[in-house]
Parts: sequence; C-alpha cells; structure tokens
Amino acid sequence: MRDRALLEARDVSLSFGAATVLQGVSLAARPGEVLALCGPNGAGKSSLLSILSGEQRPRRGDARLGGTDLASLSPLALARRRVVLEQHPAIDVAFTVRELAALGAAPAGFDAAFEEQAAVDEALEQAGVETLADRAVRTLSGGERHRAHFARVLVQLAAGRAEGGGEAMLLDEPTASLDLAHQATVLRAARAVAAEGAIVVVVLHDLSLAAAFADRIALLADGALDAVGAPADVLTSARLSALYGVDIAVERDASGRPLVRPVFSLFENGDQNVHRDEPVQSRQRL
Amino acid sequence: MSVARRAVSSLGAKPWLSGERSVIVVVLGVVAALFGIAGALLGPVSLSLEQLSTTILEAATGAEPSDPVATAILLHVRIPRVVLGAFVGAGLALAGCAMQGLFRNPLADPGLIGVAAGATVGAVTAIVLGGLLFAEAPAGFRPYATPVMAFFGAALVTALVFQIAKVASDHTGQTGSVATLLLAGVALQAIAFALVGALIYISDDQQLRDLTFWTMGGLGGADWPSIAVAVALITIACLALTSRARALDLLLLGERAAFCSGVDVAREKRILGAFAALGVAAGVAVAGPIGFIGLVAPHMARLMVGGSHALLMPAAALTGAALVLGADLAIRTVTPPAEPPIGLATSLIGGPFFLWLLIRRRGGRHA
Repeated sequence: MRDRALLEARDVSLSFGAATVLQGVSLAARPGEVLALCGPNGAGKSSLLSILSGEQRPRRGDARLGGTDLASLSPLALARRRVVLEQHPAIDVAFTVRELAALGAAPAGFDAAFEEQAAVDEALEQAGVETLADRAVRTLSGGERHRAHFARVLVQLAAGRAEGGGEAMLLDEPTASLDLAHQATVLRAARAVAAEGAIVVVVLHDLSLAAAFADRIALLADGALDAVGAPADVLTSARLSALYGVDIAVERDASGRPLVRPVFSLFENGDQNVHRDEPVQSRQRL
Repeated sequence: MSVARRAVSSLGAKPWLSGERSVIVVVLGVVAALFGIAGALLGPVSLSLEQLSTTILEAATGAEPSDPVATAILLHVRIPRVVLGAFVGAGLALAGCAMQGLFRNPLADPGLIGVAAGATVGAVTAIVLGGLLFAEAPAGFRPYATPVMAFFGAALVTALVFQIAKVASDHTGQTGSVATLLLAGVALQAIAFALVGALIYISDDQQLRDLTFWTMGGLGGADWPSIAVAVALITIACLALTSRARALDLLLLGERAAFCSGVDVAREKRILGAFAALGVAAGVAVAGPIGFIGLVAPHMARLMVGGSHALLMPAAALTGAALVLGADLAIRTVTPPAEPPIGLATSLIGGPFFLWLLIRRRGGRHA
C-alpha cells in the first residue's frame, strides 16, 4: 500500500455456483488515471468492475479504495467515495432529466457546502443533455437516456466531493449506445474527471476508442488478467488475435496510437491480405 | 375532475413546475376535506354545516350538547366513520405507493407482500373459530377479536414473506432480490387463501354471511377505541413511509443503481415492507380489506404530481383518503338507508381503472 489513494483489486476471485468468473485478478487504478477494462465477451470485465465498485464481494481477495476494504463501507459511505454508471441504466422512470440528475445528490449531507442546483446544471451540460433538462426520461432515445444517467453520476461525484469523497468513477460500457459525437462528449467529460484527480475505470469494447481515451488498458481473458499497460504496449496484433480468436490488425495513427481493426470477412472468400502494424495517414481522431 | 384532466393532458412533453405541483397537493387536501365534511353531513338524516361546527365546538369544550340527536349522529356514527375512512385511505395509498416503488411495478399493491391475505386468514379465523378460540377470553375482548386477529394475521404473513425471501436469497447467494420477495408473496397468498377456503368450508350460514361482508370492507362497524388505535398505527406508518421518499426515488432506478447511490437496499426493503404492512394491517383490521385503493390512489397521484416521492406520497395519501371518503359517501347515498359494502364502490372505480392502466401499459406509455 504505497499509494493510499489507489482503487485496487487484490487477488480477487469470483464465482457463481460452478462458474468461475474471475480468478486471482490483481489490478490497481491510480488517481488522475483513466484505466480501461477490455476483453472478449465473458472475460469478466463487468464482474471486475462490480467488485471495484463494492457491489459484489469477491469470493477470495479484496477490493480497496485508499487502503479501505470496500466490504467494510456502508452503501452511503461507498456512494460518497465512488460513483457507478451501469451498462443498462433504468429506462422507465417517471422523472424529468433534471429530476433524474438531481437524484445523484442523494449522498450529500444536509450540512455539506454542496450547491445542488449548480452541480445539476453543470452535470447536464457536461453530459450534453442541458437542452433535454425538462423532458421526461421515458420519452428519450437510448443514447439520450444514457447521457441523462451519466449526468446523474456526475452530480453524485460532485456531492461525494463535498463530503470529502468523490474519489472514483466507474463506467460500464458508457459509449455502447451513443453516436460518435456523444461518445466523445461522454469520454471527454470522463477525462475531465480524471484530470481533476479522480480515478476513472471504464469498461470498453471498442479497443481503438480505449486506446485513444485510456492511459492504461487492462486486457482480461477468461476471468484472468492477460495484460495491463499503456495502449501501445498492450494492443498488439498477435495478442489480440490470440485473445479474440480472429485475425486482428493493429495499425497506428499519425501520433502512434493503436487503431484496432478486425480482419475477417463475412463472406467465404474474404480478403485476408492486410499489412499489420503499419502506420496510416488519415484516420478519424477522437 | 378538471384537476385530473389537466394532469392527464400534461402527461406529454410539458413538465409541471414544482410550484404548480404543490398547489395540486393543496387542492387534493381540499377535495378530501370536502368529501369528509359531506360524509358527516349527508345520510338518512341530513345535517347542516352549522350543526357540525356546533357539535365539534361543544365536544372540544366539553359543553352540554344543544342538539342531542345531531350530536349523537355526528359523534358516534358519522365522524368516526369519516376519520376512519380518511386514515384507512391514506394508509392504503401510501403502502401502495411504497410497494409500487419497491417493486418498480405500477401494478404492485400491498397485497403482493401478503398483507391482505394474512388479514383475511386472521379475520376469518376469528369469525369462524372465535367461539372456540376465545371461549375463555374476557367478554370485553370478544368484539375486538376480528380486528386483532386480522392485524396479527397480516403482520405474521408479511413477516413470513420477507423471511422466506431472505432465506431463499441467502441460499442462492444473491442479495435479496425483489423477484424472490414477489414469488414468496404469491406462494404464501395461495396458502393463505387455501386456509380461508377450508375455514369457509366448515363455517355455518351466519359465519359465512359475516365473513363475506368482512371481506368486502366497511367503515360503519368501528367504535372510537379501535379507531383510535388504527389511527395511531396508520399515522406512524405514514410518517415512516414518507420519510423514505428519497430512497424510493432511487429504488426506481433499479436495485443496483440504488445501491450505488448509497441506498442500503436490504434495509430499505425491510423498512418499507414493515411499515406498509403496518399501515394496511391497521386499516384492514378495523375496516376490512378495501380493494384497489392501494393500487389506484398512487397512480392518480402520479398522473397529477409526477414521480418524485417527496411530493407523490402526500398527494397519494390525500387521494387515497378522498377516494375512500368518496366511495363511502356514494354507497351511503345511492340507496339510503341501505348500505352496500364499500368494497363494491372501490372495486367499481378501481377495476376499470386497473384495466385502463393495463391497456395503456401495453402501449408502452404507463405511468
């Protein structure tokens, strides 16, 4: 425990009945860093996230935030220290977007110097839903709704900060239902949170997006940690091809960031002749 | 019902400012109060507002009644009835509100956790087997056997539902899911109604008539002592449930999101279940199971003031009170001096409303 502000999983294992979901995973995220959890379906990304958020208790090992075992914290104490955005947040809630975002203020104490109204306004803007503030949540599209919940989580982070917490933000597939522009909106907001010194852990499927957005990537496979490190080191064609079981090309953009591209055809005689690890000149950048 | 119409028409995109919503709560309070006053004045003997105010003033100051007949009717028949109706309605509505929030299901009502089933078993047991069970009991207890047994039946079955759900979820390693609670409630309800069926089978004609009327509810039979107990218990339940407004808001986001937002889900579930059961059981014990209020009142309130529980709960309580008082008024004035059971009126309001809700829900726009 050299750095007391870490969010860490220490040798955690998790199983449901006979199915082992995680096995001996140790991973630590640092303040100010964005750590992406990547890997194939069923690799244990969401399970690891739920352990890091204190929702699940590992069968073995423990999860700690700033040196404190998450299992020893009450739900309220946890809510003040970390916020979580689920992959599938509630659809059918009888609130407006503003009311939903304001629910994030729940962990704030009565005497805290927390300006709920200001925090809500700021979060709505950061999540790009300020024009939807008075719309009923159930009338929104999937992506709009997701951003409304993201605003709620940002408010909770601010409320947690007012209570001396707000240390970590955990996002499960925050971009899955978003268009390209709004992916950028949400990820920029998450980066801003990290820039203010919080820990950001995010589950992402899109490896190129992860490479562009995260400081480090943890690759999970079959419930174990396959690799962790800077995107350029972790995302190699050989490793990804072995991990996902399909040919995957890793190219580099002008700044050297990995761009991950599967090389498979949906047709029998697909063209497999792709030059790997080769820089490309013009690529859309986040 | 222009308020309701305005509320329904505002369901679309136009949001209600919270100031306007607060006005609606006040309007609901006025409507409930008007029904209550009408309930005190109307009946086989019509009384005037002046007689009502004089009687209340005299009773409050302990003065000799100047109009003994009106005083007797008001103090011993109509005011107890109105007070009981208002509190039973509020208790049922708030319990329904809490259950709809907890189960995140607009069709949920307190019946789901076995309250009504337990109360029915208790009451029917007292009616059918009372002669045997309470043969040794002091004579003063006999009139209270049915409400007391109904209350303990409700408490017992609700406790069983929660305990079984807890054991089941401990067994599966999941933190007590709402689905387990729901299924435990369904199973215990089936068992409870089998017991009721057995008791009906062995009952004689008079008992059968008594228990049939009991199951349809009624505000007429209660005296002040039992009303006072019911009012006290319902008040405690209402205050406790209302204090959980924020947790209920967060529970609407799902158990996971609620937990991540700082709600101790298992604890809230116990608190909500216990006080919903208390609020319903206390009312059912004295007035019988009055159907549909727990389902309908929270919905009407939600259409008027929106989903946020801080405003929804007072609105639902007032709506429940107004509905019960209105239904009681209706059954007493339709065929005086005959008095059909109040359950007929509430079911006639509630049944069609429930169907309307189902159809709207199928359209994917449910409240």
